[in-house]
Amino acid sequence: MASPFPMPLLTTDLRQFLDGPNSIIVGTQDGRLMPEAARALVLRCGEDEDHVTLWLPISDAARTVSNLAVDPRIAVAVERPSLHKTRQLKGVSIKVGNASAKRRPMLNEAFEAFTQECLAIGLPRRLLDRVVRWPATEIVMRVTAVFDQTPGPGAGALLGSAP
Amino acid sequence: MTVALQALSRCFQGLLPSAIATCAPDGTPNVTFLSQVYYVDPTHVALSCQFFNKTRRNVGQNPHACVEVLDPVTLEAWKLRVRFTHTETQGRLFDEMDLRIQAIATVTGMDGVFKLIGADVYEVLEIESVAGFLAGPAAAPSAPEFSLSTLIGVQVVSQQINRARDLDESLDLLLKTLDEVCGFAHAMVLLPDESGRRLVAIASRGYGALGKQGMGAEVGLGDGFIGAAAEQQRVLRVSNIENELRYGRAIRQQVEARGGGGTLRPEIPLPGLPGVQSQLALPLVVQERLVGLLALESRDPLAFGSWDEAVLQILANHIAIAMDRNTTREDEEPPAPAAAPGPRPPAGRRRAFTFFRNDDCVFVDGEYLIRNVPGKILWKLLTSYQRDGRSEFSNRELKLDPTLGLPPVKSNLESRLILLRRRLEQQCSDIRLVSVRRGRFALEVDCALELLEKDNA
Repeated sequence: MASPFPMPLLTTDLRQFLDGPNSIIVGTQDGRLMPEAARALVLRCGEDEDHVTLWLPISDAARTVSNLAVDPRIAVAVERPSLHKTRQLKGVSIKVGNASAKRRPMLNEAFEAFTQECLAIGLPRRLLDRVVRWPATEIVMRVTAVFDQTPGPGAGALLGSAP
Repeated sequence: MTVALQALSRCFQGLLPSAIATCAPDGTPNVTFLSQVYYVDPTHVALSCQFFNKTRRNVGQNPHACVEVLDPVTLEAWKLRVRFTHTETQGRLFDEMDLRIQAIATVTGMDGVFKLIGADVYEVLEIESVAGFLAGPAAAPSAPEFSLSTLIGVQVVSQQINRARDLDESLDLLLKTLDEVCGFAHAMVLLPDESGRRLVAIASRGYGALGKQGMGAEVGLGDGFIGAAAEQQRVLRVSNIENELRYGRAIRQQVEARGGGGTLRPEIPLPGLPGVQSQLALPLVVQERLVGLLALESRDPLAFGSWDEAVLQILANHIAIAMDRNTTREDEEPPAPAAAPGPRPPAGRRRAFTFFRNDDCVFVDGEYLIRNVPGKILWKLLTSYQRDGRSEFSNRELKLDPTLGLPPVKSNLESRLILLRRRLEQQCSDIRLVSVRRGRFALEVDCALELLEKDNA
């Protein structure tokens, strides 16, 4: 018998992991099955239990934005660089636009946490400081499936999906 | 910006993770990180497939993909629009990619578990710079690496190696040139032992105190980066070793979490330079026969590029031929005249040598000195010296002595003597092996000897 209180797709542990600091890649396609990969700066789990918000540097987001206008399906790989622990989220974008200025301090703070993570594995700060963080594109995504993507025999395993 | 694939060579060293986006026939996108994108030729790249996954299934049905790579020096981002063409499961490309994965697998104790299934080859249709990703002026893509100092180093060694009197001098010249001319400060030469299953370090430079202990250090054939390169007789260049090992350990944890821990071996500690970040292992091969291995190490993750690999392979071939020629020359030595008795040892300082018969191992004053064939040679020299008063010996008589177990041809005697000479220099400088003339050497002893044989420790 199904539980009357099903496990949320984004569990507490998963939300903690997704909030970073992580490397993030976004995948979309243009409606003619031509895929696009783009880097995201930050991901934050939203108030709604199956929503996440992504911020991409505008320089790398143009094709992603135009693809989502054609087909809202989106895939996001999230990796903790020091551990290679990786999850892939699949779902649909429900809102795409320019990030509001009030988000800027949060983005800077979150990217600094990512910088610290990268410094710990030997990347020099002078490189990461060059990454342009503003202006940013904001994408709100409803997650419909979560996959394990940590390298190894379990990569690709479905960890949870929306009913 | 139009840019040639070769110009992105730094992006293909595996220092920073790349990413690939694919798309299923129903339009569902998929995206994943890649530990390394391999350069194949000016219009192709390859991705390693260790585990059958969604990316593989997608490109089997819809060959288009987008790969993003980062330059580890500038962090410039590049997008490659690619089309999957085929998978290779044998041949040069597969072997090269497999060697690297095998090496990581052996170091992290996962040989047989973590392995290459196939090399997926993609045609590169378009290369795009991600303009505006970085602040400041865009850096030009890296030109194919060219190092004049490495080339000059090869020139110096190739000019001088034929003038060297013996293998010892050749190896000294090689390591000195690699350091002083090419800028590769940490290097060692290893030779296969008599079993052919292990490599023994007989010359090293740039390891300080560690080098002293490392002389005579052994690596099992197939173990780690050096052992894997020797076993496969293929050059292995690894950048950002720490990240490679972290990647391997992540896989190991996944295997253990799924109950497969019983198939894993303990992790093998890396010998050599503490904090090593990159390594270049160049097998020394003559007629498909491994005569040694030249290993270079650095704490710089980008120390060795494809240019260095290519040029130093030429150098390695020179060294291999010189070593083999040296061995052949040993085989052609004229018979030695009868050895004259040497001087009696001076009184005063006393050194106690113990020979353990079970593993042909020699200790001096309770400390390990040397073992195997070099250990047996030393014991023969010391007992002849003490019993008969002999101090001069010929290579030929050693080769003809059945108790030493040297093969009648290609005995590598000189390399065994180099190892013995260097171990004595480090551990027991009261005893020295000094060349007298070609094929002959003297045992110089500045102490009283106490010799003891035991069956085992």
